[in-house]
Amino acid sequence: VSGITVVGGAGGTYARTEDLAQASHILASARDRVDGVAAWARATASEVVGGSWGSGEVDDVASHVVEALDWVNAGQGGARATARDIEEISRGLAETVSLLEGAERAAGGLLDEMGDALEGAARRGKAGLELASWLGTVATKPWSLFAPGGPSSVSLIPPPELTALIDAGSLEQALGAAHSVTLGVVPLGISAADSLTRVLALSAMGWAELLGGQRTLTVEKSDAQIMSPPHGAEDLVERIDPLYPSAGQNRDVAHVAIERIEHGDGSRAWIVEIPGIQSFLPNGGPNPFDLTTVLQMMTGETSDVMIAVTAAMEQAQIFPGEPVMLSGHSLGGIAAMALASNEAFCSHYSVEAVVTAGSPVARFAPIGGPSVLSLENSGDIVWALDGAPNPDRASWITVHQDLRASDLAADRAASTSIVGSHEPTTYARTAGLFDASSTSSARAWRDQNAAFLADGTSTSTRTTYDITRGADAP
Amino acid sequence: VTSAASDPSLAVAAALATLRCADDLPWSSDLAAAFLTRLDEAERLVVGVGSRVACAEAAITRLVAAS
Repeated sequence: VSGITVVGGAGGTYARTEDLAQASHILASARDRVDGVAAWARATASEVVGGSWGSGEVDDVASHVVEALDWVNAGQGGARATARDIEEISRGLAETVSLLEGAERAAGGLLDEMGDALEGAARRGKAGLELASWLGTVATKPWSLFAPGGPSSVSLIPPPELTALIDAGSLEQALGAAHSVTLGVVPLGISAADSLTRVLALSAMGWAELLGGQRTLTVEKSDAQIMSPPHGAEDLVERIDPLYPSAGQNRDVAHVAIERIEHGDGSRAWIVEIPGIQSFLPNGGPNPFDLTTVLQMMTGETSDVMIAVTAAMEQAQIFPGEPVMLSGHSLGGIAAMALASNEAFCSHYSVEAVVTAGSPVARFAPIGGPSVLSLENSGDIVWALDGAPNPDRASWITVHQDLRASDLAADRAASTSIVGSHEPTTYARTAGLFDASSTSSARAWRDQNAAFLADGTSTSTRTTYDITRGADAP
Repeated sequence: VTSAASDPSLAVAAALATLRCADDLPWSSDLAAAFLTRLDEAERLVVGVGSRVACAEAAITRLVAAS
């Protein structure tokens, strides 16, 4: 199948793991030499102590020698400790090689499986990628979001720049292959998803083993403005779009926004707006809306985005019992549903509503039955990555739009690409159709969510928060 | 005691030389930044050992001269 390239197998990774293995041997050799120095110091000190020096003056010099030789070996920085430290680096490197080789084997299998599956899908005139675990849509254990000391105390997966196994180009090419044929959702079988999960998890573990350490996460208020509250779902989705970095902006800083809605009767409600993925590399880089966050969710850990959103909400001073709406696009929608499904989070905040746009969220079970509105465009494969339809519940509305059949030229133009179908601006138009809908579900949604919407007397104070991952913690 | 002091110095120098061999490996740029940091750390430790060895060697030289 053209257009599919998954790095792995012989694709350059082998040479790199060989480098690592060679470096491990070199380090072991250096360790042996330092061990030799330690042995020399011990043997020579023993010889000096056992010697007969004939006079008090020379005995003093001999004592000095023994002290100096002891110092060669003593404590941190001594030859013995240094040999152990180098041994530790060498051992870690050898384990990394083992992990990366495992990932490489998995990547080879993945290439075959994805190729076969896409080929079959293309023959049927349909294509899609069912990579549920890739986007981490299955919450496997409860998270602890309220760590003492705030987000800076949280341990994060710290892989460095990663191009060795699965790089952005490979992932985008894999998605691009699906774009080349008529769009639809065809589950490729869990084996492909399993393989990709294995590759990403193994590579992340490998890099974490190589580098070790922790990274900090910083959440800072940047600016606030007073504005009209959203009038409906379209406004809600539109407000997420500017949270993505635009051309020329610093892509290392991510943003979320929190709106404080104040009504004429003094009541308050809060809307948390979360954008989606901004980097397809699991490189633990400065912008936490990346594949590292996905990996954290995938492995059941607290994701950086969840931590950052929670920290921003703490800074906003949202009181217990005040209604909260979580609104997210793409990965932001996943994070919104993950938070709404998290016991610790829901014991602090009253999540009454969740809005997701282009997010695979079918497998989440939000606590307390909040109102959920999920927007799904035809041609966008992202919301389908969990391979399951959203549940049909009174509290959960799913809105599909067939962009190809839209009256709007912009929708029809967007329908020609995955990216266009997935964009927040496209989803805002879909949300606008929902706002205009007179169906009982749409009317009920507007009634249920009146606390978050403009009512002629209400105002909104919208605060943006800057989020960055820092360098390794000291 | 004979002045066998040159042996440990050579051992330290050899350890440093081997570490610098690793430095010369054809690292990809993304890998290099990560791993060279660890090599630098190892090299710094070995240099520290070398300083201590030099002190011990000097003391041995004085002892040999005095006896």
